[in-house]
Amino acid sequence: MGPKSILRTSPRAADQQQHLQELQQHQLHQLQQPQPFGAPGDAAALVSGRLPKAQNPQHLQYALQKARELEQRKEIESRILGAIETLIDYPLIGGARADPKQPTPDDAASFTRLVSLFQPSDYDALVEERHAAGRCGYALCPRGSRKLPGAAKFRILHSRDAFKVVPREKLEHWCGDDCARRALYVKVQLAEEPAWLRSRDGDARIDLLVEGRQSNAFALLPRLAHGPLPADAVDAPAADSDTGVSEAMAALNLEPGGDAFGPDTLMRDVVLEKETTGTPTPPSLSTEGPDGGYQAIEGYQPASNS
Amino acid sequence: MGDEFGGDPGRELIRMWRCYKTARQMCADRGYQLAESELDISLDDFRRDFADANGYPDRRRMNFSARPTDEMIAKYSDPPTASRPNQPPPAIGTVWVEFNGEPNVGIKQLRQFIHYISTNNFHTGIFVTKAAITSSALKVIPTIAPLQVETFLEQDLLINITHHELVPKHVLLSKEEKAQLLDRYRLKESQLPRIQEKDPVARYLGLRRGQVVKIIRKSETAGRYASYRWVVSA
Ligand SMILES: [Zn+2]
Repeated sequence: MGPKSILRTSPRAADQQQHLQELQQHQLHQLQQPQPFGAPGDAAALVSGRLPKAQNPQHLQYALQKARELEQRKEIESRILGAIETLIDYPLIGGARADPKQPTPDDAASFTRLVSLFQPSDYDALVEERHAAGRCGYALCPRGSRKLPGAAKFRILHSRDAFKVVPREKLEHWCGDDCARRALYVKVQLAEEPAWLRSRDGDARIDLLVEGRQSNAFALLPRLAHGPLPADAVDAPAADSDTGVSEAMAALNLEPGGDAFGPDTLMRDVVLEKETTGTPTPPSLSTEGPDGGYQAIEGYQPASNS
Repeated sequence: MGDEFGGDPGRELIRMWRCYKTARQMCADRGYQLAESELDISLDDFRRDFADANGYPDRRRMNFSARPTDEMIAKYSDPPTASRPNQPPPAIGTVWVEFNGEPNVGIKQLRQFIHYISTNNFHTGIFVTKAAITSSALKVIPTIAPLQVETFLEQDLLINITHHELVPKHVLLSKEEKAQLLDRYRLKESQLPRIQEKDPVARYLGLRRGQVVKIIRKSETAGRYASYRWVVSA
């Protein structure tokens, strides 16, 4: 019985192995089908090169995982490109009378939703595209970009005790300083991490810099679902997310440092916003600030020198 | 338009004269129908045909189209086989060359160009721009297949690189010639040395991934000798 049974079972095992491989190849083939963007078959090519070696199902799993990630990345890159193209024509509502200080809720909501996928470099690409189309770089502004007089390639911005040299083109991206400020306010909120690596339920929230109706102070407008809010609304969390935030706060408070990476907490992705203590003042292109802002990187001041 | 960023009209005209000649020669070298006399226009003729009232080149008048020669069509056709009596159409057609002098070229401008070549049934569009095309606009190009769009900077066409004595002659093989070559040497295409799609000569000839190009060098000791490269992308 002994030798025979081995002979009988081993071909079956080989069959199973082959069947598994065929199945995996079939799945790969299916993965290959949606090709929204990029060179066709790259994902499959990447994996199929390894397939003959990948006898171990774990290796196949890994290869499949990588292929899926690549597909996801392509899909998101294609959505980002689409979003950039869509936002060239913003604002959609109000035509030339649309007001970047008080955007319509619809435009503001779709704008923040579209840019939430962006990395800062994608946002720069949007500004570049709007500039190429002759429009102000801030997507909620209907005006054209400004033309500075003269032909100098660089401009010097002065402040009390410092100056900085700025490429003329950078200044011509906007209709004025206010829009430069509003645009930068959005940019600094964008995640550096590409969207295909972000946690899926990490719902990126982008706030806009808008001008309240009651006062002239700038106010934050959470999510912009209900139109502009007065400045004092900043301190209170938005009503719809209230429960979620307090739950998250409670969860954070309960966790002592040592247990923070336990199995239950590992997947919980909590974003804790900084408390707002006053009217926020965004970084700006101008040379305000204690040392003239000339060392600022993307609007942030390096801490070491102060 | 010209004086805004062009500077001296005479210089600008000479620049565009050189660009125009290279663009025509490039199309002829790829196998499009262009008469010998159309490849080396004199500066005077260029000025007469393409200068505006102020002496600046009028790029819109420089745009041109060209049809592939029979020889070129054959190179881009699948060799007939017994199993496939109905050949697919050749992967080549009329080319449209457009010159754009705008200070910024982004998705908007590229879309207009794509719209033009698709509504006029051109197979390939060559977009020659004064300004660098934005990175986002370049990402649009692979999404519009089967339309083919190639982009060149005016700067890149000021001289014809293939006329330089150190650049060997590159000749595209037809699919049939490629099959014969691989058969003769019992090679897989992936065993050939490679040339990047974005190599300047590959761009000049509009080579595409998967094609094989024959490179003919002169040697003092061995006369002429040929080598072959497989076109790859990135
Ligand atoms: Zn503006």
